[in-house]
Amino acid sequence: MHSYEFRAMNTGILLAGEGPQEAVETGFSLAQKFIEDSEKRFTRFSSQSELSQLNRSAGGWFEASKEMFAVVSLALQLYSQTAGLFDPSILEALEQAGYDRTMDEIRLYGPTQVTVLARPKLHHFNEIRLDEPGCRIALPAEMRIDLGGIAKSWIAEQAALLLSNWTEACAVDAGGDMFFIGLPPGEKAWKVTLEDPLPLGEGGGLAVIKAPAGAVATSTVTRRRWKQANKEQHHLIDPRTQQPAETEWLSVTVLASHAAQAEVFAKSLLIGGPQEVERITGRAGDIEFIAVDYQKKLWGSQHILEKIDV
Amino acid sequence: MKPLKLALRIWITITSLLSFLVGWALLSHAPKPASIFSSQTNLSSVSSPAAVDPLPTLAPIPSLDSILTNPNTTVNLQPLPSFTNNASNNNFLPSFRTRGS
Repeated sequence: MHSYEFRAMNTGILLAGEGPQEAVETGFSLAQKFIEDSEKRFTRFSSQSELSQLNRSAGGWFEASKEMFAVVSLALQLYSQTAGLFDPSILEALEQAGYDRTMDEIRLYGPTQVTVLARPKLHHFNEIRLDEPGCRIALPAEMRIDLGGIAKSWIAEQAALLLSNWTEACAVDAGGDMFFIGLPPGEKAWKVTLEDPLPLGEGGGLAVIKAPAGAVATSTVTRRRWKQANKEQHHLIDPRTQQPAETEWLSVTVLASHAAQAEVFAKSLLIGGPQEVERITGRAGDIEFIAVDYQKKLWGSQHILEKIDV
Repeated sequence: MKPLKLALRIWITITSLLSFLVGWALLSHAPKPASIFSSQTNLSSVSSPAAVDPLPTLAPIPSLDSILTNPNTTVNLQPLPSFTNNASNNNFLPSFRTRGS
């Protein structure tokens, strides 16, 4: 199997494909171009991006690209399925927590020292309006949205679909958001190492997930962290409190049919915790999950044991 | 000054002559240098091909094509292609890790 790695969306991207070398490499080039173009569209860290333009248009209608309309529509659907535990309108709270520049910049220079004068205004993502025939989006006045995680996973799935035109089986891994098409030759599943979420862990895996074709995504509170005024912060905002979530698990990995679905439910299960599992998975449809707690104990859905080697 | 100069000249002449004679005597009694060949070796045996170990046979120089297509080569050539070719290893699977965001 051929593979290719590069960096985009502030993370490492891994493309893999089975097939004749020349065809696979053409697929890699097209997938990379798609990912890089999509990053420019969906980033909130560039004032020129389509997402920044959409945020500036709050209070009126915005003529969106079909890609932006697709992701925002998907986000609205998943907001509803997670009963609001996933809500892209938490951008103001995220910035107040210090995530107002790229993670690479935060790691280098720390967060911007801002004085928080007021609690972020509470929005609900279902206040947005969509005009499907006109491909237009209207955000309520003062609402700004962040599509970081859901856009990354959607991009991974679309890139995999693009790559599949040139391969017999392929995979795209965008910093832990993975989408698999087909199976590796002679294998019954794709093997994914479930990492120890603790940064001081030994770097080994806690288990091996045997993933079928489809999506695998992980949310964790241990990777994107920083200190703001001597307080530890992370990037997962609980929409109910508008603060970085206090979680009982360190990470949640979800296997699902689609990448955005896996990413959003991983985030929602991490924020909601054990108390919300039944309610969340009941609305999720056909997903499996595995969670790691602070003692590195594994928790999971009913059939996940059939898909892991511990 | 003249007597002093004369005495100095005589002293230099005598010491030079004495040094020359002593050196001559030492060299004439010194051991002669050994031959570069041992007593059992003669020139004909050294030049005989039978006494020399045969030269090792070198592997043929690989062609540039074979170097480029062999993933195990350690030869550092010019910029390598960015794509990793693992086609020769059917069991190769990229390492996927959950990482997480």
